Amino acid sequence: MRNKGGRESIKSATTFIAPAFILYTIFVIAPWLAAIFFSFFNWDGIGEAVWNSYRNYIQVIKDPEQLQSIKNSILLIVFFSFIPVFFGLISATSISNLSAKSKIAKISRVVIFLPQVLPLVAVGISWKLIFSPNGIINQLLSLVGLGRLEKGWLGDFNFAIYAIGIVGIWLGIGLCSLLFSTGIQKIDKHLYESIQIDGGGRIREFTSVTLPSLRPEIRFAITITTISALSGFDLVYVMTNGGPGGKTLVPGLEVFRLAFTYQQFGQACSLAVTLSTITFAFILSVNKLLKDY
Amino acid sequence: MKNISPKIFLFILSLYTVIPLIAVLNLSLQKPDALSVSFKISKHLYFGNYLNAWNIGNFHQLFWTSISITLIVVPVTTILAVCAGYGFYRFQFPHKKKIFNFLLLGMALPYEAIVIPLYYGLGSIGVLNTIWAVIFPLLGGFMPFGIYWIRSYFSTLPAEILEAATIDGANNRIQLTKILFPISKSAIFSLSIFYFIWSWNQFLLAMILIQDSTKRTVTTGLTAFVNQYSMDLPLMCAGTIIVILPSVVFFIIFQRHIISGVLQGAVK
Amino acid sequence: MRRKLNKSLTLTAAVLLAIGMPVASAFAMGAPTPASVSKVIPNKPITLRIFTTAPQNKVSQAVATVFEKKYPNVKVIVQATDFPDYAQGIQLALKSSNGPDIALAANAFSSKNGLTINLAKYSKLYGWDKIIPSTVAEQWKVTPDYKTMAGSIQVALPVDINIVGLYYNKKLLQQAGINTLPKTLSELEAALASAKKANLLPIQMGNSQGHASFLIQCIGQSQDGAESAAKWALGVSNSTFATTGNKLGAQKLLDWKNAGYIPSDVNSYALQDAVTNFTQGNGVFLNDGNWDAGTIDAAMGSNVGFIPFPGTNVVAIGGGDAFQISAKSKNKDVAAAFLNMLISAQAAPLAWSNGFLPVNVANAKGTTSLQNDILAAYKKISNANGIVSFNNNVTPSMAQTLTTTTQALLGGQMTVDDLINTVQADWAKSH
Repeated sequence: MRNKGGRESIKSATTFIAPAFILYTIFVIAPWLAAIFFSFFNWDGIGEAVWNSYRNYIQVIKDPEQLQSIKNSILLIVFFSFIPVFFGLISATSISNLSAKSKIAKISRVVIFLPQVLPLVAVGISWKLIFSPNGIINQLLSLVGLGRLEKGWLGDFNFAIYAIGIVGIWLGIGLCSLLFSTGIQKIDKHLYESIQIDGGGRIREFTSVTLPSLRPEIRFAITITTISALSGFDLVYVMTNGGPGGKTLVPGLEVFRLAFTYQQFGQACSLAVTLSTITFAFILSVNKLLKDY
Repeated sequence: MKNISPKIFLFILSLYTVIPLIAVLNLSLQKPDALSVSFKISKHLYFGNYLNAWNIGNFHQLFWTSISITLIVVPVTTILAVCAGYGFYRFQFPHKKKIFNFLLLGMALPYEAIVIPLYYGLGSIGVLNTIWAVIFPLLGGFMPFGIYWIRSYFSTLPAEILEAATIDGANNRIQLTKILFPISKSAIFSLSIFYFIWSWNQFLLAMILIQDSTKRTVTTGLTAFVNQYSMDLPLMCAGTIIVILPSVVFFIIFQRHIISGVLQGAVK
Repeated sequence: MRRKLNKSLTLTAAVLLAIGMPVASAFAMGAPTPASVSKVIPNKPITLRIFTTAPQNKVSQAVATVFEKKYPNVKVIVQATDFPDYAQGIQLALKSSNGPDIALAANAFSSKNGLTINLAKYSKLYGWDKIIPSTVAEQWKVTPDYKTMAGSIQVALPVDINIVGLYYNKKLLQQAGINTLPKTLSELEAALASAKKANLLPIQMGNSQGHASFLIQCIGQSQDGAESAAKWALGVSNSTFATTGNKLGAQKLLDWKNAGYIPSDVNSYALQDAVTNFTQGNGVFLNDGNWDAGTIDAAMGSNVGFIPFPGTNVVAIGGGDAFQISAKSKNKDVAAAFLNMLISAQAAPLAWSNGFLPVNVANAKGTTSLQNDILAAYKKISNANGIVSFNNNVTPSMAQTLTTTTQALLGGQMTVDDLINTVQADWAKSH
């Protein structure tokens, strides 16, 4: 068996691990610690930093802009994560029946995965065009006679955030469908047979066999899509810049605005720390809930 | 659900995915005074927008900057991640689990949370406004995923391989390079592809840490280009397509690695 | 053990590095005044670095070429920068060790950090106050407490002028049966109604970046008069935004949206798009500034005109680009000489041809009818001392506040009173 923690082991381990570890500590952990440090101060980034204890954190909840950004991030989790996962599960059974060798299957697999590799700013710009007053959506509406519903979607107070959500669905749906359909193919067909023998229908097949077997895939999908939901800077910056009236602010964008536009660096750090805490908490709970037994 | 032919279903899904991009492509091929994104395909396809966009938008410089960053980040991070992944796989040492978890923490940490301190920190060592301002954070930020990925992969290998090598008395470096590496080529390659995609698509760091307009990347350059020329829709679309094209081509070439990489990663 | 110690040392060093030691930085200082000033350019190789933004960089670059010809030992590097927020970014650039000699000023109050110098002595040396209209110059002079403009410390030199007025489409005006250009607010409203009756879009506008605030300011200051409006816009204490003029302005913005005089999806697109739409014949009027004159002129030629915004008083929102000299610059005299060239009669055509109204207006001559309109409007306004600085610049966050509140107002989510109070609250934080 391997060496258990002998001197030589430690020395070798260090050689291999240290470079990565050091880079990570300096450029990821250290800035994060600095953010935590500064979250307790008032600082405009140029002059003096003044101690403010936990008051910045209270501001995170009291300031309507910051609170809105947090609410939006939770709403976006539904669109970026839950809906694509849900849809992926529903459609996976259907897709997995298709022979993987068929041409349509091969091409479709590639196509629906495409959104995941494109630069988000290009995605945002494309969708901004589609939602624009002269864009496809309005054109489609007038084509089917619903012209009176036309509006500037990204400038609409109630709809704008859902527009961002729609892009989130577009981003995640292909990944989830593919993930789950591949996962289903791995499931032992005999498990389905035993349900059928028992007299159970399709729904029971789904809940008793498919769903539990896909647990690792579901866990993975939710984790990945949630991380992208909670950052969201690229998309929102390009599509609405937080507007209209701050309705589409997300924490990533608001952190940036607090630091650079309002020159409240300390407050920006508090929001940043809050954002990272929410992310950690969410991912930890998802992984705990869906742990393999 | 079984009633809907899977083929039709997939086809609709693919269509839904592709429509936004086709719309932009279509608009990019129209004359400069086109007003809107539409479904009409004009009889004469006008390619002039691409030439204009390339020149006006200084795209060769944007590509050069992005390529420079990617060419440095991808090899370095891949090598470091493989070494560290090997380190965690091969050796035992005190607090190993804690250190590993410490490294994993970074996977859930969004760049938004650390970009502001990075701005000041990198500024104080004078690399702001250079490609290094983006390179350094990526070198650090890519480590968690890579180490996790590599270690997971190694752990799926049969234990005999390693035992045989250890008994042979082969030193660590040889174990890694001569034994593990050849077997893991596919997984390592997938990792570097992920790294390529992520550094190419990087926007936040490039936008905040590089203000010199002659050093923009493909992503920040596109944003600035679109802001400046928003009145010329076809031009704007041509620029967007220019930026998307390399990603699409890259994806088509390596799609098997990318997709299977993600799908396998899901079950670890 | 050694390994662990090394790692924690690295960690500590990294943390300190990331924090960047600014916590211990100096107190606010105020713009230092150079001990001596001179017109003499030293005869050794000198590099002058200028940070500005697009499109102003085109003008700076053009003047740089002329300057380099005059002083062959001087190399001028003009850099168009891209800060996420210009105000913050330029401060940090000035603070760093490889910052610019000359920087486009973000706002008048940023000099309180001592990163740029007081230009008063250079002003006296070169006689700049004789060239620059006082209402423009005073936007860049502050009081020693750095809270109010029109003081004694000159923090930047204005080099060009922007004014906001009303563009109009001549053909559409005729189509709407409007025979005389409106001179008062009620005449404007009547014109808008006629346009609406003729099935035309009365005013083109785009508010995704907050430019509807121009309308509020134009109406507001033409009611209140330049002097009182300027006090608030310059940050003079004890002024308020809650004036009859501003309330009227916000109310009119809302009324005109409800009456269909401005586009219903105005929050969905930017001023740029509104300009494009206007040039394509969509909109009788456009409330915008002369920085878009180049684009509009090229597209519409003689079919477009420009007038000061109609109202009781002849006023305009006016501002412009101004430059500061870094306190760390090793070539302050050369920098000042460059600034002097920027505002010289010689440089005026270079500004004009790039779409900027040169601050040296006495020597500006328009070549198109639109340019002449703008010049005439400017002269009228400046004779009436009617220039008021942009409301957006009165605090670092005012531009964002005006964007958010106007979007809310136009989206039916905020009342006129709430808008006024929110804007005033932002102002009160720093004045």
